[in-house]
Amino acid sequence: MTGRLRALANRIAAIFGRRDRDADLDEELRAHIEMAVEENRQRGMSEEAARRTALRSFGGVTQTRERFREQEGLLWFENFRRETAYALRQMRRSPGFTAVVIVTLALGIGANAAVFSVLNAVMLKPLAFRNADRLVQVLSSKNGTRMGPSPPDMRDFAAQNHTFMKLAVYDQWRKNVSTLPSGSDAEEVAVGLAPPDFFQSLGVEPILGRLFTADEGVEGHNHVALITDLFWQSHYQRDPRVLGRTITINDEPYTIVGVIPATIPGWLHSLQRQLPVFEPFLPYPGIWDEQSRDGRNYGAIGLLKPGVSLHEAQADLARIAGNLAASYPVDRGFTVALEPLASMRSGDLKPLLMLLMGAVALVLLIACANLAALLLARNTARKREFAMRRALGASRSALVRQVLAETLVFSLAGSAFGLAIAGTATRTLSLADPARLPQLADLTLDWRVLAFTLLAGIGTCLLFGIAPAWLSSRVDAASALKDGGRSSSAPGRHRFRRALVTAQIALSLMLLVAAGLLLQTLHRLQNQDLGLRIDHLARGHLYLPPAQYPTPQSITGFCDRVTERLRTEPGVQDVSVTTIYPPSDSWRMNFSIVGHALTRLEDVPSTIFGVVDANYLGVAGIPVVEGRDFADSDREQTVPVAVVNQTFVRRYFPGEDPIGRRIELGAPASLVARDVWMGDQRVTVTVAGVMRDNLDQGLAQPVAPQLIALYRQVPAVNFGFKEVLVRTEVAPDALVRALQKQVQSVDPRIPLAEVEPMSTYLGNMTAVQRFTGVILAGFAALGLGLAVMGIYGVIAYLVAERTREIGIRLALGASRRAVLWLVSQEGIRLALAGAAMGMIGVVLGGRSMASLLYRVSAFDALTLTACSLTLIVIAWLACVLPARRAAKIDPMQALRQE
Amino acid sequence: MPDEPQESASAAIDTGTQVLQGTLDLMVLKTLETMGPQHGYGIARRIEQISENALRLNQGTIYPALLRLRQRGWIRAEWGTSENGRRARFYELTRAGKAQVEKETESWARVAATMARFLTT
Repeated sequence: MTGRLRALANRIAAIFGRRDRDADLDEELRAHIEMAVEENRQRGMSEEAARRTALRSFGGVTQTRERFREQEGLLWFENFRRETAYALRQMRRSPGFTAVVIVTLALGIGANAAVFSVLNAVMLKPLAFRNADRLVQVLSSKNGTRMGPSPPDMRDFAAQNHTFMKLAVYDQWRKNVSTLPSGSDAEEVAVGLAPPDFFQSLGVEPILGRLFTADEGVEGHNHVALITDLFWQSHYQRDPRVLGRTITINDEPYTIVGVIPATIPGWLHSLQRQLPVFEPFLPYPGIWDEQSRDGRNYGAIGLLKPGVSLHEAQADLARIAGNLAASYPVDRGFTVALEPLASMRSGDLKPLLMLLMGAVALVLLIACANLAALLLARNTARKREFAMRRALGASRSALVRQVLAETLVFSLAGSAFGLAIAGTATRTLSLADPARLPQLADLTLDWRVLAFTLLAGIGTCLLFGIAPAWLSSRVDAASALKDGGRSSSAPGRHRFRRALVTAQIALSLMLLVAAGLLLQTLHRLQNQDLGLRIDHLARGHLYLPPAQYPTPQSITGFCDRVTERLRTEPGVQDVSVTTIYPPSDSWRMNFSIVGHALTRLEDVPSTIFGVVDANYLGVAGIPVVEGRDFADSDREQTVPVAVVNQTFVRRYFPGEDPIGRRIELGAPASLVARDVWMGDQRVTVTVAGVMRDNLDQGLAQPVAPQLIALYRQVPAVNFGFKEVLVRTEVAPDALVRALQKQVQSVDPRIPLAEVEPMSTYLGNMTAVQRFTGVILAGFAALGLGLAVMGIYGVIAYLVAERTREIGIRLALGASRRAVLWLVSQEGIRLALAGAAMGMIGVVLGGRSMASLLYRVSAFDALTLTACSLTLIVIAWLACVLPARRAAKIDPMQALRQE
Repeated sequence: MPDEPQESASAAIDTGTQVLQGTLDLMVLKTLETMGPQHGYGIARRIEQISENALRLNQGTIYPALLRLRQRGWIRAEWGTSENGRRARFYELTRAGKAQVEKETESWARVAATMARFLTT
């Protein structure tokens, strides 16, 4: 047998190395003839006679060469062709069976290929950058929490490292962009802020013009812009004279210096879409000053020197981070973390995708089990044919090969149809993009998907083909032919079919549990108490550029005017301009409690922070639980007040009355002169009230301490970024256009962007989970359906086989109810065994699911019980039909049959 | 009806008399066992001599047989120089080949003895 295997391997190898082998053979044959000629000549023949005799006894060089080649590999093809032809003939003979098998395979393989192509786009495909394998993401890390680094830290990394060719810090800001010099007709777009190193690291070359220069990152020189190909197309119709034209960003003129290809994906900026416009990296003039060292969470990428490993680069930057932490108190505790840039693309999708891939593979396994049972049943019916061929001298391995060739034809046909299904599914998916994934833009069927599909097909063939082929080839020619192939099947087959069904049930249970847990997570995410009233609430975003609104007073004035104007719109109940609302905000403010002296900078606490107007809590529907709400009487001249949440009180005023306590915003001036946000100003606010806890770190995160103040009372942080909340009397979608118009009537250069109902905004946050949950539920249903078919098949077969026995039982006086029970208990036994095995699978797989769950344990008793019971009941129902048929057997007829 | 492809490809010896399949393979193996490393021509000549030309061997048929034995790992091939200075491919038994000769010799002896008994009684 091993000799055969080796021969097979050699033959396959021969298909590839043919040319060399042909040359070798020719030389060998030539040597043979020459030796014969020489020997003949030595015996005294003439040159001509010697050659003629040599050739005659050789017996045909061409023929030899052909035989040799046949032995090399052609033969293998010939056999394959013959077996395939035979298989196709068999398939045509039973079209119903063929259709069932191919459709099952096409669906199973198609679903796998579809999920795999998403996985491919998000995780496997190499990034479309020139030096993709050398690109890394740079992160700062403190106590295991990762965030983007600060520009001054990045500058020091760039200056002191030995492992990077380039390091670049970048950002994106929502800005009002207009192609008109007047700045009217502005639209709010995400504008990239990036230094030349950013583009050079990514290998982006301008299509037209040039990239930024290093000194364009300096204030006064930074009024230049790059636009992408898409923006060039949509706003300038690809006019080559676009260079030198002026684009208005936040009411300031920028000169277009270049056009870049649209190859920078949105996920680099955690956005869905590509950024259309870039300006030099200068978020604010003091960005490179020491006070900005604590202003983190910027995007940062690096291009490694050739041959440098991630590990070496990590050690190199960690060394620098260590020095920085020793020199600058704000950097204490911070280290650096590097990730391949590709991992930024997959982000937090990776575990969900792995889950889906695992689930869809389980579905295919369940389908394989059905097909194996089906094939086995069919091969049992063909027993006579096999026996005949065995008697005619076919070896057992030849029979196995024949049956496998048939399943391979099925699998390849299934793969082809599956690929078509996957292609349609992914196209629909990338167009509809229900989960709002920027990565889906790259969804294509490339060679990886093709290879995967082919492998899935072949793997499937082996999975569902080998065991039935082996079992079917175990025919005893004599006995099978004698009884005309009607004899009952061997116990081996029964055991095998039962094992298949048990495995199916186990796999279905795992799918059901996974879907159940994920849907519960989704339910909990969506229906948790966010701490605000979501219905009849709309949101929108405003940006007031400093060129138009240079002072805090002017910003407050604009906000007041907008509030007044929006309130006049019919259907609007109330309006609030704020920077914060549930369920998340990332603005953090250092503070100190008056009376609690702090001596070390690293002891300074920070809180989630927002500035609002007096209407905020009322409009959002957040109740005040202690003290008072903000009031219109809190003005610029009155005592600055703050409202904190309950978690803030528990953390910083445990067991004390928080009302009237005084809190200084910004790190104490005694420790650091310039605070990140407050600069050299400090404002002390008095706690006026406590609001009910509302989510402030995201849907799946616990509530963190939060403090809100009035922007009119804290001018140092009254920036142009504002959000608008509108409490409506009518459905909020109906008001979108009207709200935008009202804002534009206050100032035509200020667009109200991202206007949407709060429910839509929140829905988008769980879109990925919802999408995954729905698909997973679909897979679970599919798996369950297939398993039900499997159980039904086994029980129906059992009833058919035991007709005679059941007839005897009935004739001997067994009640129909007893027969019903006899048959269905078989199914229930299978279901119980399967459920028990499935539980083991659930326990083994539970750990990997835990990270995807929220407020539900991977071993949630209720889910596990409910899923198992559902499965057992469904399994029992699948038995009922054949069991009833068994109970209706007419004993006389059953006995007469034999 | 599909059958064993290996066997169908090994119809080997063009003789006046019917010869059982697989005989050529064993002859080649045995030749290599007694003579040591040998090129194709040498093997063919040796078989002709031993059989005293009772088997009219088409010498060319030896090459598919040599390849088949090589594929099964019973012999290995190496380029070398023949006794009169010509470049030729030399074949040599492997360890598995040596075992195979023993096995097949034994079974042949059994078959031959049985046949002899059968035919003489």
